[in-house]
Amino acid sequence: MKDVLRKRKIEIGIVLFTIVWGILHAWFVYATGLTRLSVDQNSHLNIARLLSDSLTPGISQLGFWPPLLHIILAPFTAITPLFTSGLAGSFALVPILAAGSLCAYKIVKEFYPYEIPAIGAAALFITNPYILYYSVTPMTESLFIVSLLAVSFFLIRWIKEGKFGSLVYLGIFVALAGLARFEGFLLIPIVLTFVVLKLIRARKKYSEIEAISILFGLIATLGLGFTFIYGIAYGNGPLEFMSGQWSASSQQASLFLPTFGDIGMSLLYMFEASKLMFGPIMVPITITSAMLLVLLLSNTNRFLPFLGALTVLVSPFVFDVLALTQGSAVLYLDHLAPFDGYFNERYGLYWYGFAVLAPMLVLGLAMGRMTGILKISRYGFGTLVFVLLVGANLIFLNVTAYTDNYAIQRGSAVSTLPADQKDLAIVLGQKYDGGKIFITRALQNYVTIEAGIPLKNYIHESNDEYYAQALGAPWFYARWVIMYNPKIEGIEDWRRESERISQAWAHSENFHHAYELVYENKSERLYRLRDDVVVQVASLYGIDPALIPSLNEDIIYWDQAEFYETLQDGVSSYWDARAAREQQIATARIMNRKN
Amino acid sequence: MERPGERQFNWSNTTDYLFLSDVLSIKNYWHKETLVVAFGITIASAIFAILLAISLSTNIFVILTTIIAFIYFALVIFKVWVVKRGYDYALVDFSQDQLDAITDEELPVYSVLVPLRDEADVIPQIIEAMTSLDYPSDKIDMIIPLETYDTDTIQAIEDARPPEYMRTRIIPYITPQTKPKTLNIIFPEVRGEFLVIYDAEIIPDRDQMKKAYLGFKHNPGIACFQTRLEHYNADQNILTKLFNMEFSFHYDFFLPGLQKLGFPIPLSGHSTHFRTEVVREIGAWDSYNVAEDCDLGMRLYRYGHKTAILNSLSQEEAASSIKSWIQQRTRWMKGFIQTSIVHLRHPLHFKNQIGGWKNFIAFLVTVPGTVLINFLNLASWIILAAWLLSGSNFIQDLYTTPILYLSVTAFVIGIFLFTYLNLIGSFNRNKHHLVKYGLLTPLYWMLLAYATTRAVYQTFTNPYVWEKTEHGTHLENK
Repeated sequence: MKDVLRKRKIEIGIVLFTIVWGILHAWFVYATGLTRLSVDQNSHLNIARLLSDSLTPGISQLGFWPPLLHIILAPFTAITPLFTSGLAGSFALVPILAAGSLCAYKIVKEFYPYEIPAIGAAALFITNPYILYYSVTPMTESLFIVSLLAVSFFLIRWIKEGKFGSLVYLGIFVALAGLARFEGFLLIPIVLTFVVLKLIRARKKYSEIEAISILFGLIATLGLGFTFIYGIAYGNGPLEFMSGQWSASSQQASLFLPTFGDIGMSLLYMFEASKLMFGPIMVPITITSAMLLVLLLSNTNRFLPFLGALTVLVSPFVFDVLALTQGSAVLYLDHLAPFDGYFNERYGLYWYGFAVLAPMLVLGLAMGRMTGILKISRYGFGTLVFVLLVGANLIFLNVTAYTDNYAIQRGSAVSTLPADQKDLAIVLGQKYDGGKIFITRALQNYVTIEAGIPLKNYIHESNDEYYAQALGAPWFYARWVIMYNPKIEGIEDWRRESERISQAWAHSENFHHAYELVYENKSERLYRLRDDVVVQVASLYGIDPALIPSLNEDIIYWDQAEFYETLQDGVSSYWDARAAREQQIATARIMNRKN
Repeated sequence: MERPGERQFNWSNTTDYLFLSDVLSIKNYWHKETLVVAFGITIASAIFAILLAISLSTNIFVILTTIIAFIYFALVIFKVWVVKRGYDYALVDFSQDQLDAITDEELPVYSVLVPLRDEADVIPQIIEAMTSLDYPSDKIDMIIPLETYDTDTIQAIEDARPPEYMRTRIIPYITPQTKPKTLNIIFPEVRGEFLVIYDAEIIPDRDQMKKAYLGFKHNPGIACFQTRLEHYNADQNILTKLFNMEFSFHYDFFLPGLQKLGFPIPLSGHSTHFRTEVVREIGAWDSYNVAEDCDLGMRLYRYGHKTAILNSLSQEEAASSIKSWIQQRTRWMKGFIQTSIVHLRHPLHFKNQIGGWKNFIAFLVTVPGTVLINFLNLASWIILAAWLLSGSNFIQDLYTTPILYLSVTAFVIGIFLFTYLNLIGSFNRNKHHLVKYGLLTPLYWMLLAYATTRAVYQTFTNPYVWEKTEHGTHLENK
């Protein structure tokens, strides 16, 4: 144990420092109220919490977003204060940040034996303000970038040593990268290509190449396999994650796409986004370093591992350029058309892993080539470059985080929707006296967190049949109904159409007979059940009111199929009896007329 | 109840060459103790399940699926744990220098038993394999027992003119017609300090006996060495390929894991090396058990002895037709059931003898557990298929949410992991071309489940029948 500690003291130091650094930043972000700022952050928290706290808890609640973040968040979101504060994200992701800095360090060490560039890579990683921000709030970005770094590390290891263990870890991290963000699926063919290339270079027989490809592929495709099977089990098919109702392409269908069909424009947007995310000097430094490395390493045995890492780390950039060109993704930057604030600017961050490695690999290479008299100044030179680069990043961090308080992130959340949802949540929290709350959760993520009511009390779209039945006759199921105000303005058509409760009931007389409006603002409405009306309806249908979920707040879970049958029986009997009565009256009338 | 060391075996007094007492043999299946244990467990389980169902206000079948899910999950976890420990465990091995340093003088007499029955086709191969062994012939005490009625094999061996040190011994027709009975007949004649059994189709590594000798010399606490098995006809067809992958996993990961953890090791029927005195001490083989190897492995532990895995290969022939494979596997599974019955007659006493709860649980998992998991696999596939085809609410209701997760996790992870381990097994043995066939492993398990079902049926209908594996089919293709 002592030996391990001594041998790995720098690695342990990096991990511990990063954890402390991450905790401090988590505290700063929380104290400035930025932890749970965006819709996505709230949504991730909700999904993770729903895994354990839902009318239908379990894997069905994962939905069609990449699930890895939700799975690692789940143990923390199950603790209510961490869920409501958003700090569950910090608890789950600060260790991931530490893993990322360790990977950056170890990757450089795989190429050069010097500590300065290796520590420099780790330092560059943890001093980027956005890496830090996305590592202390519940978002997928840092998780994805760290999984890319891990893939790169094990790919380099595999190419260098060819050990089976590295191949298995490589497969595992490729699978995890795909589950962290769907861009990660692109790694399967990329990494497989490098695995095969290495084997061909080593003049392995076809049968061995085939065997290793199968052994790698089986693990690497687990994430993709899970996503397909999940889509079949809980959606409309294996590609539900790409084309379903809540997929990014559906959400962005009605948006203006400035990059559509223009790869040059897509590149411009991505580079501009990267400049925003990396800071003003890191993009040119990264590109220059990359070119230098390609030139200087091309005839060395370090070239293939370098090329592998480069391809893996830059793959999301390429993926996003293609997605922007093809129209399946959208990226808005304030200074480019449509000049309407920021949207998805974080796409520019995804290749930051390469940005921390490239300059430090150049530094390592330069230090290695300093011979003769220059050898004396090797460490001085290294330290100077370290101080300059990390210093520049620290200045960028200071301006972005501590001076501007993440202006871009705050600017992205200027819509009135979150504020209105928060206001409604406060009213709901004050007035709530039990019973189910009917809501389209994916569109009102702030409500479920801010109201402080256990999520098992909500009927929402991922409760499937419960939601479908409540949509047909909400008064039998929900004591409370939350919907968009039909007069809501400034939202996309997709959003309006997906809010099915408002679409179905906002203008219904029956609904307004059964519910009273409790609260309303520009975006939202909150209704409460009129118990007496439903009791009347129940007696009309001959159903015991105690069995009706909306009237009996003690009913937390119920068999939806059984209750639906009871309801149908009651309704049928009522209508049969009524028809019989009407027939009786009609017959009596005829008889009377005859008489 | 007989206890180790309490009885001296009489090696000549029986008509069926069974030297063990009744309680340690499967000769009489339904001992009073067996019935008491079986009924006791069944009734206690039933009462427990009914009480649980009543107290939880649920269906008895839900309780049953819950219990099954936990057992399945536990079996998967245990096996994964064992494999993890065994994956990189260094087996007992010796360098060429160490082997070269052995002088002929120091080597003890080594008995080699080669029981043959209906093996005329492979006689030249076995004689070549045995004469190739790197061990001085004057120190080899080789006995080849032949059945009196098996004239073809007797003739074939006469025609082959084996060297003098290979003694043939014609044994009388005595039931049960099993290999352990044959071994028991000739065992009193064994002269060697050590003893190994080779089947008709085996080609052991040339230096295996010397390695085993060094193994015994350097490990006085080890009573038995199990070697690693390999198939020389692995490429014959898809079945032999899958069989070979299973063996790679079993002998390279699973058995070393059992050894590392100090658990009892179920032996294989050949290429197992013993200290002769130990075999004598424990009463030799159970003539009636059709997996006498597994039984002997357990009995060794009951008597306080240990088994280790020797890093030496024995090449054997994989059953190459589905019929032959099913017959062989039925016999093995039937033998596992017989071994379970014998050793669980006095469960607590057995637990104390075998080395406490840890080893007792390991026995439960590796012997009856192997039979059970094959059954549970079959049941899981049938239930899954039935649910997929019918969408039955009844089936759905059997699996409450946590149990559904537990079952699905164990089932999916189990299938993936053990399929993958089979692939790694072949990969590690440099059989790269087999790896792709490993993807068919789940189909192979279906055959296994069928053979297990057949074994259970035979346990009641034909308990002692020895469905002999056909050897030499690979020679027909040459």
